[in-house]
Amino acid sequence: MPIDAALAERLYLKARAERWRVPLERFAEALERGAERGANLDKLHLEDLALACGCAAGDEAAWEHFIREQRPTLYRAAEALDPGGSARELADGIYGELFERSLFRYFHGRSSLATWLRAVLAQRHVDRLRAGRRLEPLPDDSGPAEAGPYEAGRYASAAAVGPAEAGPHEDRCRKLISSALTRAVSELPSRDRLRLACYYAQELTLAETGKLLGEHEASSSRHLARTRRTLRGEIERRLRDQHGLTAAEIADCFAAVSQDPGELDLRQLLRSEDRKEPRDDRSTVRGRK
Amino acid sequence: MNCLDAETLAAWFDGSLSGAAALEDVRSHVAGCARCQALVGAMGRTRAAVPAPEPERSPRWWLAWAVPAAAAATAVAIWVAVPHPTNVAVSPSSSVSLQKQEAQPPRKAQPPSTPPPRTEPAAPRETRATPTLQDRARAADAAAPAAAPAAANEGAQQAPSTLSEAVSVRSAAPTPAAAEKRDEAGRQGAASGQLQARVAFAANPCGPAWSAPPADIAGQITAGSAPSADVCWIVGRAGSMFRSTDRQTWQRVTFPEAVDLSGVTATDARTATVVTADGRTFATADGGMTWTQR
Repeated sequence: MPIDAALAERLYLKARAERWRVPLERFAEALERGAERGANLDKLHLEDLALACGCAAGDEAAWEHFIREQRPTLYRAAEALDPGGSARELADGIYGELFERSLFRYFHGRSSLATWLRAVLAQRHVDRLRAGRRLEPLPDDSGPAEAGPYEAGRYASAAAVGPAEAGPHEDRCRKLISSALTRAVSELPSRDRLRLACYYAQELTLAETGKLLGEHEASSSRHLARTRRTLRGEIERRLRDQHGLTAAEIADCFAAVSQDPGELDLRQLLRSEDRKEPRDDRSTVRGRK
Repeated sequence: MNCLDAETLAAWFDGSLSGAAALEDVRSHVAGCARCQALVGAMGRTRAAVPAPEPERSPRWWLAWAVPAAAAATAVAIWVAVPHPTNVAVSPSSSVSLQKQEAQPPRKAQPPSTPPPRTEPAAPRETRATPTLQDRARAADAAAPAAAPAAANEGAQQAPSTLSEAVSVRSAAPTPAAAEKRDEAGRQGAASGQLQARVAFAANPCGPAWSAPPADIAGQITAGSAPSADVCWIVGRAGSMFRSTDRQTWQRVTFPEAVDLSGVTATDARTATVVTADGRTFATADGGMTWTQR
């Protein structure tokens, strides 16, 4: 997608690309690649794009600036993702690829450089965790002795209540509510489901949730409250209409489940919609040239 | 739609994803994709890595500093210009000169009813493992009036070269007129000493051994702390914070909020406690990567 020369020059000046000795032609090519990906040229993070072009071209001043301003962001993000240090290895790998200049070509200025670095790191971190889980053996019937930490925790919480203490009434309540909740969540509009996932499952703040949904955080809060009421109403309706429970029995069921939710986990329910095979991190980044 | 690539995810978080249709595609995909939900969660967890944004300054932002600065300058000028009673002019912070004066017999020029120079007891200082730079600045302020009388005698007699000489010159008190002239000059010297100390503190609170702080924070420094010979932390407006561990270079330290910082007490290069202008206290034990409110 060719860019008008006057527009390219205007954006070049706005980006102050001459600081990093980026030729106008090279910057115009980067703009074209961004436009091909549907970027609005007026909304591009032009200074970051110019810096990326400078680093990709091996300009020393650009590299010094990048190292001073962006590398700490990458390492702080790694520390926040995993204080144990494994994400730091990923950050080092990303930094190595940046140093080899191969990764910069996937940055088109559609976001800030700092957020893009966080996203690349987050992507590799998540994919490594997911790959690790796929390789883990399923727990056998012997219980927590063979289970990983997460499964052990779940067994532990179940054992704390104990099958002897959780009677048939509680078990039945859990099954009924779990089934009704699964159905109710699956029938939510995708926007409501995304809001629940962001806030409850992924633990974003209300402000972050609102930003992703394109709404004010107060609106997010109201929508979440409304969705909770919707879910509660839908569960009650199903228990009443499909299972013939009275209002008192329904209240009793909710009380039993709130005391011991067992394996009832909204995070799992929200993920149960997942039917897509994730692409490999590298192919995701490099797949769109 | 495929899973989000890094730049689309980043643009979504930055709010710069263009096109309503593209936004809806992304949202509906993430609503049903476990991997992308996990990416969103991971992005949320890395929010602490983002430096606090600089607050936008209004075209007259400098008025916020100019007005109090002008008021302070006026107050100093009035204090210097208005004559004060002689007994008030005794430097309260110079314990050596006070003890010397108390040992002298009462001056004849003073009426008998005049109370002796009031010696304010020194407030017990909080014991700190590492004195902050504010303490050093206060010490410089306190030392300035003590040295000032020496400068006051310029022209009338040779300036003393040591503190003990200054004390002996001061305690001689030849005449009330000379004493008044000397005290006025002393006040001027004290005021200029305090101002010099504060200007030096504002320019580089770590001291002359450290390189100048970065331009990002220059002129906005509110406090500093140097727990060792090579480590110094400085804080300023809008969450700005820097740290030096070699006295030559400064690293930006990210603070989670763009709030004005009014104090810092560091223990070493990794551990520090920061006080915000609204009175909250935050601590870090990992060099500023994470902060915990106390």
